[in-house]
Amino acid sequence: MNIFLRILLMVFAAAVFSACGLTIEGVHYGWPVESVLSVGNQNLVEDGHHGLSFSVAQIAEEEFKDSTALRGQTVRLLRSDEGYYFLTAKGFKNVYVMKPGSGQLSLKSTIAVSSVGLKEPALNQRPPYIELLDGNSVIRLTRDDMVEGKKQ
Amino acid sequence: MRQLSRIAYLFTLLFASASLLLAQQSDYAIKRNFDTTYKSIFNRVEAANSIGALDSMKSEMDSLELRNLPHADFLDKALYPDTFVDRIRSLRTLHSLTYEKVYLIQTQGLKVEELETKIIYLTGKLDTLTTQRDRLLVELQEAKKTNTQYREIIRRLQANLQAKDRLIFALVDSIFLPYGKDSAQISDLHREAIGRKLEKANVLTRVEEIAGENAAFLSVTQLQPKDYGSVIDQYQQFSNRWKGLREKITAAVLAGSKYGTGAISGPSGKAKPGAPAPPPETPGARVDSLLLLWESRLQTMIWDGITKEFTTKGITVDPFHDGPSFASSIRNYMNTLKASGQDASTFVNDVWKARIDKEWREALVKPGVLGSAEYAALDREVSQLTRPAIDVKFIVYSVIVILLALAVWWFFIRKPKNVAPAAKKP
Repeated sequence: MNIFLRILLMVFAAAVFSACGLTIEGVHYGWPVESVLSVGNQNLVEDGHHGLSFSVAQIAEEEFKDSTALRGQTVRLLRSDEGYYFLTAKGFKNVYVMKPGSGQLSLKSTIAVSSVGLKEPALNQRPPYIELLDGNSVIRLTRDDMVEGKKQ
Repeated sequence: MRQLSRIAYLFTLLFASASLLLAQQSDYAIKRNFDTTYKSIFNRVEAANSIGALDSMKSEMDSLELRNLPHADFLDKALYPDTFVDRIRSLRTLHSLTYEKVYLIQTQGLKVEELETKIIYLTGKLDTLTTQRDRLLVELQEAKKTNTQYREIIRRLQANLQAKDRLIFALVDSIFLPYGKDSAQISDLHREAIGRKLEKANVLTRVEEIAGENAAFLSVTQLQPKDYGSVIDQYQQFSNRWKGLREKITAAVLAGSKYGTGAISGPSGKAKPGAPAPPPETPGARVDSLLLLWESRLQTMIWDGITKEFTTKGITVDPFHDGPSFASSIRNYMNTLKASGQDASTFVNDVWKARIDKEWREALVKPGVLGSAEYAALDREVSQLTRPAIDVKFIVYSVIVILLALAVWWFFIRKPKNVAPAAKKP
């Protein structure tokens, strides 16, 4: 009897465990086109199209050592096919790769792309990469690093 | 010129496309450029008011499509839920609809403008003719005129009235023309517009005035028998045009403000206080009654004139007042002549042939008077009245033929009877 009860409990636990671990594979998060977002006075950017808003104060602090440096500027944001957010802007030396979490974005990696700062950056979706354009320069990025192109 | 500009445009386009291929392009820039250009063209097409502008926008649309064709897949995603093809199609549809609308406005606008000018011209011309008519009537009433002068004034007055008849209906046509010929298909809005135009051009009053003038003309003039043909034509043309337009004019005038309220104001334009409301009058009823008066006067003058032709020759016929009674009267008179054996030559030669057939035939053959068939029948019957039993011409021709036959026989066929026999040779 005890053995039977144990087996039943084990089967039940296995079923519950498998239900909780439901995973869908092959999800594409990629946006077809980057969002060019204006930074407001509160350092907030809002992407109405994707229903996304967050503060860029920490990014500005990280990039310029000034949390208000991006006020009135525009940042370029593109979500990769894997679901990471790639963020950069004019004058940035890096591309910030952010991983979405529960009510948060955490830094996945900082990819150094320019020693002098980007002039006219733009992000293109080129699965499995993200393409960074700046003038005639083309750099291909993954979530961790650049795979093609040269640092300016 | 347009062809050249298109070629130049295509070259620019190819150059631009080549440049774009060379330079790296941001997807965002492609989308933004497409959106901006699309919105710009869309707004300009929507607001376009000339065919020329729309033609140039057509080239811009072609260019937009051609330039972005390589990015169609990307734009399909970036423009979601729209697609690149959807956007281009909607732009072309809008262009096509606007083109049609602008074309209609331009062509109809021109036509309407043309007709408005014509209406103003015709109204002015009618006023001029009215002034001229007043002057002619004054001249006509002056006693000291020679017969030639009198006839000339009558002729001019008649020409004046005919011109007014033509002009008033040309004016009515000009008002109705932009709205099509079928009155049943005219919308209430258009009917009101026509009503306002009719009222503005004072059309109904003018038609009444012209019908009244024509009726009055008959009472102040003494026409010659041969004048009646054209006067009858004039009446019939006016009457037919009025009958054809009456319904349309009435409906339009009723739809207009003047009669639309249901109350008809007096000539002064103000209803008298305390006075009972006037009975509702159909617009055009006055024209109808004036036409009746005109016709009645015309008929009276014709039949009175013809009666005089008989009485002046001492011939008493039954009184007549229209075509059937005239035919009946003439036939009765001819029967009386035949029955009594009286000499019909005065009636036939002096009255019928010399006066009726020579002077009045043109008026009598008109459909509303006696009609050509009835006149021909009467004329035949009258002619037979004096025809002799044996035709003299027939006898004369017969005698001539017999004499000619005898002459031929005498000179060519007959053999001489007493020819002396030739002397015998010894």
